Amino acid sequence: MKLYAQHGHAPSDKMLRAIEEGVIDGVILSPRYLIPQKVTETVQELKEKNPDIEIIIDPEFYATRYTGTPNAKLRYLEKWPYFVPRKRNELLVGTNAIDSVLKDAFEAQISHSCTTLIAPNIYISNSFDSIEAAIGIGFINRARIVADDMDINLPIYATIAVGRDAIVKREDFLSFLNAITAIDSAPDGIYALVGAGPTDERVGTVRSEILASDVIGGWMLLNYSLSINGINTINGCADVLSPLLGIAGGAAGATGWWSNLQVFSMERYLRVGSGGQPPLKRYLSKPLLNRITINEREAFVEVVPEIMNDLKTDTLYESREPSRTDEALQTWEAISSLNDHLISGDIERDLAQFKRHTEEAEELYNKLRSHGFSERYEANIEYITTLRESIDVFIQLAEFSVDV
Amino acid sequence: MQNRPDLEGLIEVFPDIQEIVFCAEGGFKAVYKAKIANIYEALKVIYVPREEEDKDIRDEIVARVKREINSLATCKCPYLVKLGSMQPQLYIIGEHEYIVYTEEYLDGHTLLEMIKAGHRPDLEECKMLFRCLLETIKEFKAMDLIHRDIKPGNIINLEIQDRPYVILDLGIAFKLHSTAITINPDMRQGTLPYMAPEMFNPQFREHIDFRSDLYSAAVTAYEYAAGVHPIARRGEDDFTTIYRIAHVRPLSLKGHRPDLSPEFCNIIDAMIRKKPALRPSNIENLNTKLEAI
Repeated sequence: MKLYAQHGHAPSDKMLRAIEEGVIDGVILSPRYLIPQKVTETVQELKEKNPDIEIIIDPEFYATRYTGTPNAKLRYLEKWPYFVPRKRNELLVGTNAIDSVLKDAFEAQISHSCTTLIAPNIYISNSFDSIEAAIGIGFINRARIVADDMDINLPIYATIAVGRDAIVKREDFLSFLNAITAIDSAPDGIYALVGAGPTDERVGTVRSEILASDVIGGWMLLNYSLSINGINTINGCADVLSPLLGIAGGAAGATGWWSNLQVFSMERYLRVGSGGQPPLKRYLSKPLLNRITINEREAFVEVVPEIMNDLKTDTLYESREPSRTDEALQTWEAISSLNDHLISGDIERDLAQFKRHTEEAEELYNKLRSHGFSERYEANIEYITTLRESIDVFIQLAEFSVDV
Repeated sequence: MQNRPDLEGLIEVFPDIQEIVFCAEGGFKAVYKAKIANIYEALKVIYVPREEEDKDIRDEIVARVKREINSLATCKCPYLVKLGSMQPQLYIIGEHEYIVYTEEYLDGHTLLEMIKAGHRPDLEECKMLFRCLLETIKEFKAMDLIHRDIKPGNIINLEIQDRPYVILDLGIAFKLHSTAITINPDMRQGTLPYMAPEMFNPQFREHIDFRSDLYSAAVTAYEYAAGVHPIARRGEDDFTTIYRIAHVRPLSLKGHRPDLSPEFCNIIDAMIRKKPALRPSNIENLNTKLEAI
């Protein structure tokens, strides 16, 4: 499974270093943080580090729903020619409006030397039995056709940006899957973003809404049903869920350096609250399948050294405080290594292995507690249990007859 | 068949047709082997109620025959039965009216007969059967057509290299994006044990597509290979069969045929999943996979 950097605010040298270190396969750039005139320069810098690096731009068209909203935080998005809100009826009736948005978005991406083109789409917030979903299918259905009309020879991925509530409404979700897997002119792949409910602004809460077994199991099902139908999936903001999605058939996962690049939420496009302190720097432990603070890492490793990854980026945390770039590199290397370790392509074996991994993680948390580290113990166990239960949900949804 | 004409009646109406022999019958239809201009053809005789008896059923039958004839005439796939020399026409035989036309006569055994005889196909036969079914479904798909009655009884084994298996009977085919023919919209056409789970969805017309045929094709291939139906059990009532189709996961084909390639068994197992989205449906990819086995 490939791993991409999810671009966002303040990239500094993070992606360049990651390419140098070989811990990512590509980048998903965010036009929100890029002036169109500067993209070529950014892409050039990235390609200088590795000419084969994959360059993808997420058009973020789904954020047009906030255009004109007083507290919208769209930054440079409105400077991109395709980023023009369309009336819902315009998108619902006929194909002209959708085709026009697709064409403009493809042209913008082609002009910036993207290696894969992402077709824009709207956000399906609450249900697949909705006007939003009908428009969403319209975009997916037209992506390949418009690209062919434009004689584009690059891989075309359609966007599915969806709220977690839509995924847990099973009947409608399955109908949607039935519809998109039967599209005649299917795109090469899907760029999938699963976001939390539309009303919450705190990343921590958003994360907890995504980290639910029925949401993860459904997201895995999306990857699985697309893969068996020959459609690749790039999972945006998948972070530590990447291995699970890869086991289910996902082609790539992505994550970034800020917590809002590690989990998707539409609220990133709205100005809420008054900010706060910068987040603590963390270490992503493969054995724990979780992030821990620098202080926790130092304390834990004294009594349970197995929590370390034994990867090259571990040294960035030794004897000094890591920089934000170091932190990002560590995240990418850890997830990339998890992907390599946990995904073999034999889905039943991999599901069983991931389950064992969660059991081992639980044992480590128990060990830590026996040494007096019981802070957030229940929350961590619940998180690990959720990952494990996601596999059960997926097995049931995907009609596997295995007991892993 | 309702009001099946007797042979004497047929001979009287068709004096130029020779050697008429009854072969099989369905609800409104009987099939005879017959010699027309020295070539054997399958004479299809379909009972049509008179307008004053039941206009709705008459209209439905006529529409179905038209659809079947048009589809057979359009479809170029060698694995689908071809039309014969006699165009469909309305005839009065005895007291009743019938539409009569011919299809090519296929000299072979149906898969159903072979299964009953205990035939145990090898991997090559199984692959060949499935490839023929996939090719035919691919052509149906291009025509927006769903056969809806793919089953061992509707497939003939010809033992001819370029036409090893041929599918019969488009009598209840469903045309997507077309006016419904069935008078009762709640009625499910098809043969129960081979019907895809989505056919039992209350809004099944919105849910069916070519993957319903892929499901029936895989069930047929499974039964041909294993000698037993993957889901239905002999003697059980329809309700139980429907429950099984909707909810019970069949034993993997490799459970019955460990000698077949696991890859082939996996393909068949995947195609009989309950959710259409979980059935591999890219026919090109499936053919490539079959080739690679």
